[in-house]
Amino acid sequence: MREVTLRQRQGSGWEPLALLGEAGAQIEAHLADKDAPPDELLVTTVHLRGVLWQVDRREFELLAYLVDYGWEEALYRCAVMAAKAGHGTILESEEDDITESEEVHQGELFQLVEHEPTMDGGPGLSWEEDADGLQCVVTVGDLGLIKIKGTWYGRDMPQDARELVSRFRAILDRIESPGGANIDLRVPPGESDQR
Amino acid sequence: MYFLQQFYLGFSHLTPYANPGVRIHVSARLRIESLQVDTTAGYAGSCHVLEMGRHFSEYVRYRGRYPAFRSVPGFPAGNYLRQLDTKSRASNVTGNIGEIVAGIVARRTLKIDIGGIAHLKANTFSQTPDYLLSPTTAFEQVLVDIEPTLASMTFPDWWPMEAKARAGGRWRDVVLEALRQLTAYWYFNCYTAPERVGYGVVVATEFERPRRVRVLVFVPSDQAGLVTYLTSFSLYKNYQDDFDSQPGATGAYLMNYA
Repeated sequence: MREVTLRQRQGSGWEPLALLGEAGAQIEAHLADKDAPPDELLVTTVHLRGVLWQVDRREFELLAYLVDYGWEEALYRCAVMAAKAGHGTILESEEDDITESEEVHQGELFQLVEHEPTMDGGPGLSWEEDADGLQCVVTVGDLGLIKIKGTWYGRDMPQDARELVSRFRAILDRIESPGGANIDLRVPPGESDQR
Repeated sequence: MYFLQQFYLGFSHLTPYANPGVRIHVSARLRIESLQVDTTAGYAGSCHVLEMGRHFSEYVRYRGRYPAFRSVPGFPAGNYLRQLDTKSRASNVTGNIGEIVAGIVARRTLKIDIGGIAHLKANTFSQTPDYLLSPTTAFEQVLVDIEPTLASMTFPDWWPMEAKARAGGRWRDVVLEALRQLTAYWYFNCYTAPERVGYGVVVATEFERPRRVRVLVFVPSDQAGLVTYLTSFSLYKNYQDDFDSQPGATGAYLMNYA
């Protein structure tokens, strides 16, 4: 952290993408109560807080969580709206690989009178969207956690980390407020809060 | 992919037919996707393992995809040494998957609030459950709806939860291992908070088909008797040895142990 601060003061030595890589170690240090991650990599909204990590040269991820548990139910509803607002492609469930013939033998669980066993698919969802050069897979999952994995597919890497941060921030902002003034929802009436 | 979900009170499997509350509160299947595991691993799971979603797919979804080792020519034949033919699941990662599934079950099925799910630090001197759960009104209602006779109980302020994950094998033995962790919690509470003794949750996940999650809720049938029994051991190690040699002696004070 001290080194980052020094580089920022020096001005010329700051390489934003390198900073992202270093921030990973700094965030770990933060977890051990030593340092705080650089503010540039924190993305916060009213109910959510996230940190951007560099996974690989072209892969980045924002890990975010609820800071207000009372907003949990709203989070899942907003996530559905946000996926649609971002013109994302909602990902289908993984293919089931337990065949019905295998289930027939589960008599103790699914007796013949129960034709449609109930399924708990969980409250979350995943979707893909293109954030202007950053191909993202957004997952809003159990326990109010969010992971946005982004792969930069352009030929040239962005020259400033803030170019990446702003893309992740836009998605998190849209989850926080899918009906925001600048968002074109394009959701048919009656579908806005239902999956 | 999905897991079959079964609910137990003690070791008794409660079905939707005998206990209608099960039909209301416990879905027969639990869908858990690798992307969801990847995200939920940000909190649930005590080990810091990256890419838990990929591990979940490799360990649970697929079968027989472990990298093989080449056979080394001239490897000595014999009954003692055998060359490892493939890589295997890492036990810590498997355990982490079990903890993630348990975290999901705690929230979805047991209706524990996100903020009420606490990981526990392992002790060096005793067994420790994986989680401590702060019960909600909804959780207690789920229990009473499933088994109305529980309405007469005064539930404790905290519930320990132990997660186990295995490929297969004898599930009852796996649950006994988990119960060992719960009994440690009960032993160390029997003087200071005896009202917590006998209550706990085990979430046992099986990877082999048909994949299954067994949710077992333990409650005391004779809490005072269990407290007296635990306090008869002056040292935890003595109690632990007793549980290992005759778990039924503790189980006699739990509902539906037999």
